[in-house]
Amino acid sequence: MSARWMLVGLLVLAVLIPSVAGAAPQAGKEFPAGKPDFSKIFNEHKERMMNWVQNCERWLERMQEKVNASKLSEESKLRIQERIRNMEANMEQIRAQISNANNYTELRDAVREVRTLWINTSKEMRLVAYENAIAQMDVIIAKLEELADRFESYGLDTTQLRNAINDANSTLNEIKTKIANGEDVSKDLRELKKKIDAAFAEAKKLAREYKPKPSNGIVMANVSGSFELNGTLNALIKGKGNVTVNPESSASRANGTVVAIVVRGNASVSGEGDFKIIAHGNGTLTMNGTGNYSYKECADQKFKSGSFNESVTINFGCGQL
Amino acid sequence: MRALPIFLFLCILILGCTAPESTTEKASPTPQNTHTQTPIQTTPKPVETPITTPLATPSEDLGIDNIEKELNETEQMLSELETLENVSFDI
Repeated sequence: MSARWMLVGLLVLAVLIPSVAGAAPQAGKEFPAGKPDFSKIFNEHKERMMNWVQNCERWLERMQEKVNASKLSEESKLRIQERIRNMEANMEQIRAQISNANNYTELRDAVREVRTLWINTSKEMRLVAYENAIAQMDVIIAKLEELADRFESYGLDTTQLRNAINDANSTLNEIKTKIANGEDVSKDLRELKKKIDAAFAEAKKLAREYKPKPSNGIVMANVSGSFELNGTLNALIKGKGNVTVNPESSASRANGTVVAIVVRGNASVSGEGDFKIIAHGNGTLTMNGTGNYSYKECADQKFKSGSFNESVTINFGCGQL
Repeated sequence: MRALPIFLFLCILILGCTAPESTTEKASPTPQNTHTQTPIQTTPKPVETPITTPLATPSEDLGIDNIEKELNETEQMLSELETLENVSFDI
């Protein structure tokens, strides 16, 4: 009989103990379940907001560095720097509002004010970011054009690359017009980025085919005045002015107001005007007037650069003329 | 009388299984020596080769790497701004 009662007691114990154990307060829980812990919520939100402020400040710092290092005009740089200073002052205000909040209610009120401040600040940030991005993309397009000239001078077919560059360029010009009219360009910028990526992919394809012979030299120059180019070469001459090629059969000329001549083989080219000259091979380039140049005697060397305001003669190529 | 030891045994068993977990941290075996020892190098020393100054790779020479870097940086600044703009002011 007693054994049965003991068994019943045991079962009751088995049922009761887990529920009692579960109800026991656990370490770290100061408030009973159901009641929000405002102090904890306050700390979490304050930390989150302070981290966000810090990220905004870091972003502004980096943007400042990028603008300083960019090829933007001095006027644009000064204008952007002024904007960044204003944004930094706004962020300082936002930081103070959040930092001074001592409890959940104060933080909630502070965030309400921050929200209003942020509307203007984020608009300014976007304008600065877009202006910087457009300047960067302008530079990138110019670099891609340089690459296209170099590939064409070497003898590669650059039609696809030039089409992609022209496509990106027209979108860039549309964006510039929209910005001048105060229109939103966020979608257009994404479109431009895609087009630049496409042009860059074409450039990378051609770069894999671009393998100048080690004995070939390379010269790239801009001249306002006259020039004479002789040798065994592949060359591209672009610009405005008169150009004579001897023999004429070694040249192909593109129609248009701008001279674009591709020369292949043993040739002698001379011209007067404003030109960009890119040549691969073995030869001599003499320029009179003003301009700049970079060249390497052999393909596996590094480029040497310089400028001139009277005359200069550059010998390029490590092989026989 | 025979039931008593069984009762006690079962009681201990139930109490043992249902007891709440101790809040104190379980002692984890700490290594006796806390200093990190650098492993003895067993790999053979490579045969010294003459250092040659690397020539510019074609992509470096053409500026492909720089263009890629500039594209990535521009993209990064814009996407970071998007993240900052997506801040939630709900408290």
